[in-house]
Amino acid sequence: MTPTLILAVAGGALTAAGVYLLLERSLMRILAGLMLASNGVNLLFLVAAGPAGLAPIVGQDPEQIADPLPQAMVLTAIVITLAASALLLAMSYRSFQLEGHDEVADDVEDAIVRRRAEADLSSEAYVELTPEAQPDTESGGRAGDAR
Amino acid sequence: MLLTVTTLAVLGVVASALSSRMGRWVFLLPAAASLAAAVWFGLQGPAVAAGAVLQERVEWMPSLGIAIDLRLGALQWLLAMVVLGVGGLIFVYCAWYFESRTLAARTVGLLTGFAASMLLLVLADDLIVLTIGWELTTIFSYLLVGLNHRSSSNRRAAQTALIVTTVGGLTMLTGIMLLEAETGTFSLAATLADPPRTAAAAWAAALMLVGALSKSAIVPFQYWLPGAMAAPTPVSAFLHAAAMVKAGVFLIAALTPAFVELPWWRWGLVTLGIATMLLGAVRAMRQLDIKVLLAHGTVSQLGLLVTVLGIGTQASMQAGLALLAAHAVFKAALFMVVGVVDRGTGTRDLRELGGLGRRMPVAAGAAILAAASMAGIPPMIGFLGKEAALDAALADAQGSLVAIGWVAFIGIAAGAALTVAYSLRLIVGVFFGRPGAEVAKRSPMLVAAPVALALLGLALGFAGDAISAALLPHAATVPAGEEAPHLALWHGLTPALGASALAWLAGAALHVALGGRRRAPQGQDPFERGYHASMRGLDRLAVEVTGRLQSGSLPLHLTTILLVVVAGPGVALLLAGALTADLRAYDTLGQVGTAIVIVVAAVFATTTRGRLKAFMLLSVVGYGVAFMFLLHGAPDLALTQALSETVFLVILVLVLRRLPKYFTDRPLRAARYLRALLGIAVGTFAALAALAALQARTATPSSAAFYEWAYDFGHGSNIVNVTLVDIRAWDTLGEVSVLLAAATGVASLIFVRRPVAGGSGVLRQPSKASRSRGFLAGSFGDASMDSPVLEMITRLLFPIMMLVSIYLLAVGHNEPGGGFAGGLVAGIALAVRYLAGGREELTEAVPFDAGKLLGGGMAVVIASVVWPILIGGRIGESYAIEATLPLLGDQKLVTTLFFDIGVWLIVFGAMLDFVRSLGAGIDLHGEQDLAPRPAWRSDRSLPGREVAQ
Repeated sequence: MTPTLILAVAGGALTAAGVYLLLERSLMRILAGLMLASNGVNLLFLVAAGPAGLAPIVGQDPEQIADPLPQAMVLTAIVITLAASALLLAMSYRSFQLEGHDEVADDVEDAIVRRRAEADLSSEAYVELTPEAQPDTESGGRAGDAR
Repeated sequence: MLLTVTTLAVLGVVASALSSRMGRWVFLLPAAASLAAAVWFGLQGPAVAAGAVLQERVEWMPSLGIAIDLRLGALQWLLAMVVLGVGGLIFVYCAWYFESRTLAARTVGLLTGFAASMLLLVLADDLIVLTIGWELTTIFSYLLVGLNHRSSSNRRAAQTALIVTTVGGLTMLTGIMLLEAETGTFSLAATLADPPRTAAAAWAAALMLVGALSKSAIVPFQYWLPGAMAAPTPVSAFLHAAAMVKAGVFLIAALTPAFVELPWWRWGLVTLGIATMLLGAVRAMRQLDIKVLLAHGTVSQLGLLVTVLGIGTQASMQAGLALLAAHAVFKAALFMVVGVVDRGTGTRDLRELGGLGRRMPVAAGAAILAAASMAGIPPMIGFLGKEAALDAALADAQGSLVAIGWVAFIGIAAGAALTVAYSLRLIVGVFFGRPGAEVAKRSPMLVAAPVALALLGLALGFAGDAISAALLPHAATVPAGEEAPHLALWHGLTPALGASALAWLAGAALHVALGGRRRAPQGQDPFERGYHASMRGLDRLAVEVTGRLQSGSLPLHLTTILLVVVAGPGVALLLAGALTADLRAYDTLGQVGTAIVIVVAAVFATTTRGRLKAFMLLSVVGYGVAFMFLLHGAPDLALTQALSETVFLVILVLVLRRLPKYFTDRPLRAARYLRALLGIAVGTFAALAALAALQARTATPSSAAFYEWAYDFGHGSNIVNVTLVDIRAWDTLGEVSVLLAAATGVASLIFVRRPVAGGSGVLRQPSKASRSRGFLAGSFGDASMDSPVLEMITRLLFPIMMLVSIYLLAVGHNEPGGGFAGGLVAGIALAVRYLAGGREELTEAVPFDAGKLLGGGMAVVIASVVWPILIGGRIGESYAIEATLPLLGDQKLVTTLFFDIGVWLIVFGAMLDFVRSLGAGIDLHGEQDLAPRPAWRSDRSLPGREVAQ
């Protein structure tokens, strides 16, 4: 089938602008990037859906209607984007409330893991086996019951 | 048979629930069920011995060739008797063993569930069902070993058991898949009837054998079993002595007829079996804890079973299975006696025990009988089995398998001697000699089960003919060796009897020579060290990889992901040549104009530093995209997009009033061109992928039939709406769940630690009783910024907008509209009402909690999907009800309308949460000096004061 170029160009441009903003550290700009990219991808759905046509409502000529399935998918995507945007907005507000800015800092836990790797240590969850530590075989007996 | 499995499974759940009321007596429920089932299985014995095979079959996944296919042959009968008979007695024992209610409650469910899955394992003919039972026993074992999860060494032991047996189980599953690829069936019986002889089948057998060896704790996997003794003693008796560890032996016995002629089969099994037998026995002689001593003894005995089965003749099969039964009986009895001693004296340490024979004569008698069986002393069943094994090994050594027979013969004899030695260590150390720890009083019922098993072991010793007859149907399937001679106590003066006698003497001599030494046990064996080293290596590798790849910087992570997207699928897209020049520039001229507007707006949105400006430009993009949807022939999309854009604009402005004018600008300037480059690369890839998706399309779109379906099954004309509420209702269900989660998230972020919000998000009713005001009375003087005219107009508008919202909901099935659009309109109505009148106005408009709307909506959605099964329909089926109403004429009600109503409720609830949180919630923050205050002409703001708890 023949795709429509102008939709692909517009969708691609919105996606590109969205990705550019997504790579920022400010939550509000990330939010803007998310919205732009979502709009772009929604447009690209139309490209992949085939040519433009009549509204997919029974009664129209079945040969000329636009494909309804991608439309249903995009419809859910729009509402989900709205929900995700609202959540990001609230996160950004909360960040301003606590910090006075909304920049995403580097993860502290990841830095800890990196330091452990540099020091050739095992993970925090790993318990080194000591030869003295014999398994406690009393759990069915009183020791287990006492607790 | 299936009835027994399901009864036990259900009983596991029921017993857990009842345990709080019945205490430890709850164990008598599964005990009764197991013993009753054991009687039924016992009655099938004669028929099975005559060669009959009982079958039950329930289709499960016919398209994959998987069925719940149960088969009761001689081998399965033996194992089922062990699981139900010995298991039933262990349940009886549990009722007197456990003292605490909590431990009993957790144990009874797990133990009964284990019995059900073990029974499924041994009865299953379908290899997939067998694997399911297999893995279930692994999981129950894990949970039971880790029953006392507060101890880190117990957790470690449970984890080791889980990892070792699961690795084996997955290897076995791989083997089963491979075997199915060769034979075309998952049926064990069909595979055995016509065993494949290909190289792939040999690999399959090897992989399945790995599973069997790991489950039965054979070298190099044996180290998990002694650790598993962290479980309560009855659990050890059942899982780690009588039943679960026999699963691997069972599988070997089941596969032997098909694969015994593989060149490595006999040597592999005999070698590993003897190694396990000797290693386990030597380590057993060093233990001070009698339970751990028995555990190492179990390892040794499992090695013996594998050795005997590995000889691979009819006689050895009979001997191996007889030994299996013998071991289940005497080892369970011994474990239970250990439990009795533990309960009586409070210790299991050989250094503190001694001379208990006089004070616990009954328990001592049971233990001596059971240990005699273990050491192979007549007239116990253990003697019968060991004699038969030695005979079988020798019979082969005189036949075609000289070498293997002699190796097995010597190995078994040596193992027997060591077994005598550690049996003596146990019995003499505990029941004879200098009196040790004091004995507390305990219920005499505690020894009933071990005594019963010990006597059973004695009785079976005289039942050689009956045992032989029962085992014959399976032994006869082995394609090597002569027909097995009947088991008997007296065969005459044979070399086997000589070897036995020699083993008794050597074992006794060894015991005397060691003098019951009381040294503390030594550390781990090499296999265990290897396991721990590899686990540590895995952990270190994970740390290194994480430390290198997980830098913790969000932009960097995203960059990595996107680079992979461009470099991987992007390059593949270009190389595949899916793109052609077959393009249409545009469908309508309007598209071109709109495209120019939105692209320009998007580019400026990326460069501007002003917060409000950027989002205004984004709105332009959003409405432009809505127009694009309209031009494409998607009125539903255009409507929803325009509405959601409006809602977002409102809540955005509500937040922006508290944020600084400019974006925070980080010193990322050097990287901005790289970011732009990556953005363009990703955008280009996405566009090309969309083009290629359509150009490369060869199949008919799956939506081709939606036109007919929409009206025939969905009873609606708006195909998009029918798709949402009917054809793909599950998608929508998931989506509204996301909406619900996001709305709750927003509310929690704003109302976090806020005592102001009564309940979950309802703002306290304002003190000025605004509810008593007239419909059009404004809230004069509430706040200086209020506009009475606007407020009154919105009060007039509100019902109209709600009417529009409900209209959209009602017509959605046939015309553009639906629950989403309707809910958004209602949300806008709320926002307008709030903007004009403040938060009291909002409370008046919707005087209840948003959570109730969200939850109620979810309930309606789920109910409307599920209800058709109540009237025998399918989940998600829709019905049309046509009726003639007095005023409205002929009307048609489609049941999926309720689904849409649920969606409407959730969307409306989410909107209410948004407006209430980001509007009224932030107002409150402002009044209490909690909200951030933007610094003048800056990109920062002053953080709000955190509220004290």
